[in-house]
Amino acid sequence: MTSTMILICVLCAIGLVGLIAALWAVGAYNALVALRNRFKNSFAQIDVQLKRRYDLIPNLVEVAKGYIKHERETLEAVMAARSGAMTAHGRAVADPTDAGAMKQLMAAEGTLGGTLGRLMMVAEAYPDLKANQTMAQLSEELTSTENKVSFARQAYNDAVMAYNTQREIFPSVFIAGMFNFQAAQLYEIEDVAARQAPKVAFT
Amino acid sequence: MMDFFASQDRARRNSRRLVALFALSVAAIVVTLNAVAFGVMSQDPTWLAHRLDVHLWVTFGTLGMIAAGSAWKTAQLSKGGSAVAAMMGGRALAGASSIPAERTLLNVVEEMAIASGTPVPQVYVLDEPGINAFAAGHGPSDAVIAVTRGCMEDLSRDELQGVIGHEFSHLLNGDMRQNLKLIGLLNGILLLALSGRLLLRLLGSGTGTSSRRERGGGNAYLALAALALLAIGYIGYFFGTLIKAALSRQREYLADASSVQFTRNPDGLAGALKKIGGASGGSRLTNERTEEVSHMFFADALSSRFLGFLGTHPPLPARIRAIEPTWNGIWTSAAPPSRTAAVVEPATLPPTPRIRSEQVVGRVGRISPDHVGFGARLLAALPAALTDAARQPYSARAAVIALLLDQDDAKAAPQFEVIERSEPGLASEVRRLRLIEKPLGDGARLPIVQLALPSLRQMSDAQRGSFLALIRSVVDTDGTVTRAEFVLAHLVKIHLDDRPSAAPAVASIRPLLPDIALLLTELARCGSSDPARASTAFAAASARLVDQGLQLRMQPNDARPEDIARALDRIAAAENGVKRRVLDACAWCVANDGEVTPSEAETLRLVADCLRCPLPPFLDQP
Repeated sequence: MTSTMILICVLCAIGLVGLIAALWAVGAYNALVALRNRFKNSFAQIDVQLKRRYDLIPNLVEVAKGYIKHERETLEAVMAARSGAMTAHGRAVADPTDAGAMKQLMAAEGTLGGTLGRLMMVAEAYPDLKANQTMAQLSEELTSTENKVSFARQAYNDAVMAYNTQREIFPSVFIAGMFNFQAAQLYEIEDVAARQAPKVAFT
Repeated sequence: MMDFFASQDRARRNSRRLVALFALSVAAIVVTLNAVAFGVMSQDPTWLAHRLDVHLWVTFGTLGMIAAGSAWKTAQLSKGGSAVAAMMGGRALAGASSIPAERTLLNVVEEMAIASGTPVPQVYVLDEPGINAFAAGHGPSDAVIAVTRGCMEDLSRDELQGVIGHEFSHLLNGDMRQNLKLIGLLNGILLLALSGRLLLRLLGSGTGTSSRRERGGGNAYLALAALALLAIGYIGYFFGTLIKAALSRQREYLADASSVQFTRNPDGLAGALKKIGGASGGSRLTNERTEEVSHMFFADALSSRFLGFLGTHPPLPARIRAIEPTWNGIWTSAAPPSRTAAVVEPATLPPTPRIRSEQVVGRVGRISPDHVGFGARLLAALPAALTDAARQPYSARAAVIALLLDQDDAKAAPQFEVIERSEPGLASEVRRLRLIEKPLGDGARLPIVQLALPSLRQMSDAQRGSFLALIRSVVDTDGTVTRAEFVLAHLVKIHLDDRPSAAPAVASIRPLLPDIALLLTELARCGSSDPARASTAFAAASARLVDQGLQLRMQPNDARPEDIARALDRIAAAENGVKRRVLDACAWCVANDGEVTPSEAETLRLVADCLRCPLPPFLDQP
């Protein structure tokens, strides 16, 4: 066998290995993209529910205003927290892969939950407000939206987890590093007590 | 007009022709490559001694590479429609969206799905200004419909309906499955070209460092081989595209015609096509992966086709004239329409007419404008609290579970306990929705499931698993499983499980006899607790099947749910001729007096859906 033949065989082998490596790289890249799209898409479900909550709050505050005489700053705090959360929400919706924006949204949502909890506590002192039909209906709807948010959050976190795992395991970690696949942020509400707060009202 | 089974068969025949043409072009590539190898070798006498080895290497190397490329892509696409939508960067619309343009689009899709008896497909939006759309998936369970932002925002409701009707026709005709197959196969040939390019590039970087004459000589041969690979790969791809184009264009005319037939409104579809012609972006897409999937789109997605015979779509004017022969050739500018909600009177629904059992099969997969109108009216007639609930994953679960509960409150109590134990919040949601669903009657069962399915698919795998487990325990808790409950639970399960069925496509009834007997037995027994009446029903059904001396016996009463599920899956995978006859037998089993009552109609529609034969609601006019 001539040395040319050997050389060609070696080159062919290298080519084959290169081809397999290239195929694998494309596959790993596509898998990462697919998983990233999946968690971005599941944010849409949280998004819908959060929006609904932002729509409910002004009505709730409007009704409460008619009854609450003292501690009116609680009402203002709720509205301020709402608009803060809406700003953060807008940024997170624009790009769910932005971990910073997601953290901001979580913090703002935590504050909103806390102020809502305080409002409900204050409302306890006003029996007329508790008896108000609209108020009862609104807070029921708020609780149900809360449940839906947490269900959507669970789905979102599962999707984020699948993406983050794929991003970190060997060997796709190389592809993730090379093409700058950023770690995604889990959506968690830190203050559990604050999140629970709206639920205890009127039950 | 072909019936459902005939058009599915046509798609399968087309697929077979496609595979044959593909095999032909692969053979041509292998022969050409060998010829090139021979030409190179004949320059150098030392090579001729190894001639046979080289030819074997070339042949099997090429075949292996094409096979690997095709298999890889096919595996990638096995995840179905959502994989394609994700590949194209689609954004999934939440069913509960309240943005006007999104709401209109979702409503149009929901109406069409209810009209045809298929689950509502997941809707995706591609962030592209051009006006275009596609449907993708293996079948109704994993189907998605994707439209561009331009399509969603610039088209009026009627035009949108025309486009969606076109896509539903692809969905019902089995074109989608063929599309996926095509993408997979062509990828094998494309891979050949890509590896040629890769080889050339590697050699290009190698020659710079090499100074040995001998190596340079080897490189020259290799470069020649790589060039040949590249050229041949692209020639193969060219032929592949040609095949794709030839098949695709014919289907587009068919889908246009079907769309007009579904909506009885040629102006809608023609208007959409005219807007594409008038829009600056036309129907073009900017995504770099468009080439791979160009044949699935509503209109030509690639920029300026200078070669007409390579176009995957007929020219726009020809398509418009096919619908509207008197067209004056003037395009419409694609200005966003004013969004007015469609005026649908929330009238009560017409009673389901009684039809004859033998008419059932002919109605599979056939929609008329009346059905589309019915879909819209039904959607309007459903209470808003219910449609809202069905459009989001959390409460969609409750909407489905509420359908599975016993009608009798006392018997439903233990079922509520099961739900309460697994998730208290869900139990109260189920209670609320049960009160809404109860007065709606049997006719609303399937539409509620159809509406809920895309939301349910939004769940994560873990959530999906626990939901299916909950359904199973709710159904098991019940002492008396009715026909509808059983089939409904199975239906939800198969539509949530997006793996394509692994069962073989059987072409004759004989190997499926045990499965058919089991299915008919269950249907007969669920219909009546009286053994005599059950066996009458079974006899009526088997009379439709036994013309070839086949023997069907009623099965013992100890069938496990898994067995029945497996039987349904096997029948669902069978060839159309078989499914047609089985469904006909089911129609006689469910309605053994030969007349299908409204509640029997619902059961039949559920069974048909399990067999992947979408059966539209029964209206007076088929």
